[in-house]
Amino acid sequence: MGQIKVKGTMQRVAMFDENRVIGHVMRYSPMKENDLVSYIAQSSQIPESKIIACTLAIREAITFFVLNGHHVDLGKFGIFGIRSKQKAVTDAEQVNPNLVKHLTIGFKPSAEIKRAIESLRIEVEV
Amino acid sequence: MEKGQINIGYKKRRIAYNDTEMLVGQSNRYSTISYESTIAYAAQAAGIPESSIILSMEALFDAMNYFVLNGHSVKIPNLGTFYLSVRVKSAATKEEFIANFEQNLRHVSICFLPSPELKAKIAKTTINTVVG
Repeated sequence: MGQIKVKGTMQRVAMFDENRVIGHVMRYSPMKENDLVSYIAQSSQIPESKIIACTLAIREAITFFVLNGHHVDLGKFGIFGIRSKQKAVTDAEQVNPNLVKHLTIGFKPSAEIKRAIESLRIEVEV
Repeated sequence: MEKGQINIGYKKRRIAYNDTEMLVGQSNRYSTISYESTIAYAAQAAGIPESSIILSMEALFDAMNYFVLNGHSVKIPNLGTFYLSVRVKSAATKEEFIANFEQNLRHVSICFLPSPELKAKIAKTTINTVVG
């Protein structure tokens, strides 16, 4: 079970025009690929070189499918997919690729992760 | 890697706020690539046995879950960063914030922020528009 800390800090809230306490997740150090690979190698006895090669292969597979309009289901982790925002038009002749304002990759966590989030232990600190 | 290509389909829909029919676009979704297909593709493309990919993928996702759900952000190069975020209603005082935290907690979720390399690849994606 995970455990996070939420820190409340005083900040100006524009809509109330006053200082109020706002909560943020307290971030620890960011885990980079090297840290992740060392952790996996230690906990699973898989050689580091194999983990690096597999991570690269998985990453390339995700990028390839997602950038070609597919959604990629990563089992107990979640689903990646492309999301777009475009302007609506009245006439079919006006439709062109320049109407696309924003294109990004979205991630939807799996039901398993959502359950794990629900059982998170949250500590509050101000 | 080849340049990506996506189709944006435009369909007539009623726009509620001005009560008119307009052509609204949505990215066409092809099939959802299953977990097994992703593994098979990765194994074939990289020349690594599927069993190794499965083992590494399971270990990778377990490690990512563990770190993200304990307040770390996890950065995967050329893909992006995963982090946890919360939405809590603001409070006037610190005491009020702590006392009403559980009632005011609205949402805890895992967010994904694409890396600049991935954003550059997205920007190069060819967009085709289709009406109908």
